[in-house]
Amino acid sequence: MRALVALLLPHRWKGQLAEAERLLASDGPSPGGMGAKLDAWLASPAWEVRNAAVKLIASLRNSERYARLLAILCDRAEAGIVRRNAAEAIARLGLSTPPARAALLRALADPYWEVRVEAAAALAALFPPAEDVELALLQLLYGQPGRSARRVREANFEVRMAAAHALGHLGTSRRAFDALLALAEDDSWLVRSQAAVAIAHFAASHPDLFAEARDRIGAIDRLSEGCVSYFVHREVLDSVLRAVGEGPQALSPERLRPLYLNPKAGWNRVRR
Amino acid sequence: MLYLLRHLESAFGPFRLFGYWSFRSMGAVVTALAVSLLLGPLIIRLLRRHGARDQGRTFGGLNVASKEGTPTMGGLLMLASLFAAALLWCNLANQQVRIVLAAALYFGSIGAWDDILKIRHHSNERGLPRHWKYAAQIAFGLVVCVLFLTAPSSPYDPRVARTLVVPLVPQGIHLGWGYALFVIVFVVLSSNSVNLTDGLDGLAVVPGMSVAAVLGVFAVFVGDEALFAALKLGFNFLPGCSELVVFCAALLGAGAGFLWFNCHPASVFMGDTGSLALGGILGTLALLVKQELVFFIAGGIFVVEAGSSFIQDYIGLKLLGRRIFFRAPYHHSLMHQGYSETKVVTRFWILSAIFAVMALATLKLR
Repeated sequence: MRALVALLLPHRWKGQLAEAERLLASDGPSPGGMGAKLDAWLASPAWEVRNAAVKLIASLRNSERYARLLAILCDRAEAGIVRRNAAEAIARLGLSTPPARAALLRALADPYWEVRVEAAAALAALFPPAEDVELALLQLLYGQPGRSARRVREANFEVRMAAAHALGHLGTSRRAFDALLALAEDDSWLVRSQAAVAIAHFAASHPDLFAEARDRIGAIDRLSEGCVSYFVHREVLDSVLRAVGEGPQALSPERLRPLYLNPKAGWNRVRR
Repeated sequence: MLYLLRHLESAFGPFRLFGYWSFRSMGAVVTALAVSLLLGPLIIRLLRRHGARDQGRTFGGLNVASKEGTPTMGGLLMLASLFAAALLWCNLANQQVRIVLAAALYFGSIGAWDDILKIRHHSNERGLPRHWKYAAQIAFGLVVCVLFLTAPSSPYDPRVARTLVVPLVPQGIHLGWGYALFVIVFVVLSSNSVNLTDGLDGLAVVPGMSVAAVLGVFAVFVGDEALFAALKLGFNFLPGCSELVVFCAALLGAGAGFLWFNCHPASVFMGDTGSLALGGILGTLALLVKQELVFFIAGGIFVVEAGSSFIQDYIGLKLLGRRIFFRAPYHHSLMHQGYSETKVVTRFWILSAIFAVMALATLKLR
């Protein structure tokens, strides 16, 4: 109902939103009376205003309202994007407290996928490896513990990517490694790519698994449906501009030689 | 203008060819294509020199900064070749042709104004305000209503003009003056849907060409007396409508010529100049051929793109406060999932061909 009212009467909150966005854009110190304003905005019927308030709490490092971020993250009635930004704000603020950890672990089971993504990312950024976090991440992937490590249930590729990243950081046991191996066989090249890095990350802290990790990474399917255009001319120009920007001493023949295009070698075989 | 040569048939027999829409259609395709290829480098150079360059933008986190600086307003090239071919090969005394030429000019001007503002302000967010664009589109819809639905100016019988042709409903649905509202909504939808689709190299122009081809085929079947009498497809006869096939052919040639420069990696973007014009032209064509619903089938890509944007923006973000798709319009969602631009564009072209075939299949569904 609140959302419907906000949708039908958007102009009522335009002023608040504009002010919040102006504050977000400026890097200056927190203006006076911000606490009352933040409270008013957090109670706004328009989710865009509450969202801006959540971002402002992180941007202004308003420590008195950190607890509100945790409450918003756990409130399933709150708009998905606001919950997502609350998780992101927790990571940005570096809130590595036990209540934040509990809220983020709970958010891994959030029905909205963007919240699960941000919660996994925040856990990876804030906390050290731990068995309960590993279990929560496995539950995120498989739905329930004890499922076959090859049958990932999570349908959203972004969540699988975030889980791979988090398991690489937070995994403690062979179970995490097996889950990463399963993600390395994912249909999406984005997940396979992410899993490859995460396996290497995991292996760095588990030397006993290093040889297996190396072999498994080597065996990951290289098929990719993604290909990013590479504009040779732009790359050359940027490199030349970087060198010129560093002053005449940077314009050494060694630095400039690789930038010349060699027609015999083919312009598209320029060193990248 | 060449249409007038048919009057000199007695002096030189082959001039009778200029009386046939089939011959003039071929001429229109070749002319539009040739003009595009000849003018293309010149117009691109001019756009580059005058700083008509695309401003970098972020689509919901999807960075397309690598395309920043590509000349934009390439729609001018498409419109120039379209007008050259249409003025040369169409019967300019035909009212339908004049209406659709006016649509091209009007929507092209709105788009150009929008593009110029964006370039001047160095920001994609600071073009023509959205409500102004809607107002301009609604204004055109109102003018079309007056021209199309009132007896003195309508090229068709007003009762026929106010009837919505629906596949499997032989008599169609007579909307009366409610059709005026439909026309306005239709013009706004068609114009904006192409505008939303224009987000990747070659993505809008090819589905636009396929819709033009489908509407051209319908224009022939409902407007050519001999074919209409022979085929008995169950449509109302629309006098003068077959002339629109020449215009559609010119649009195909202009689209192909533009694609020559717009294929990935693009040398020029059509900008709003091209996308609003293309949408406005296709919507007006569909109204004139009385195949409004066919537009939604043949232009299925436009429906998917506009529909995904609407669902994301109004139902997802505004009402529910969450994303429904990874990104919108839908091509950005596919890009976000790791598909390369050429793959997405090629698949959309395949889909637009399928949609065109489905639309043509409705010829027999009366």
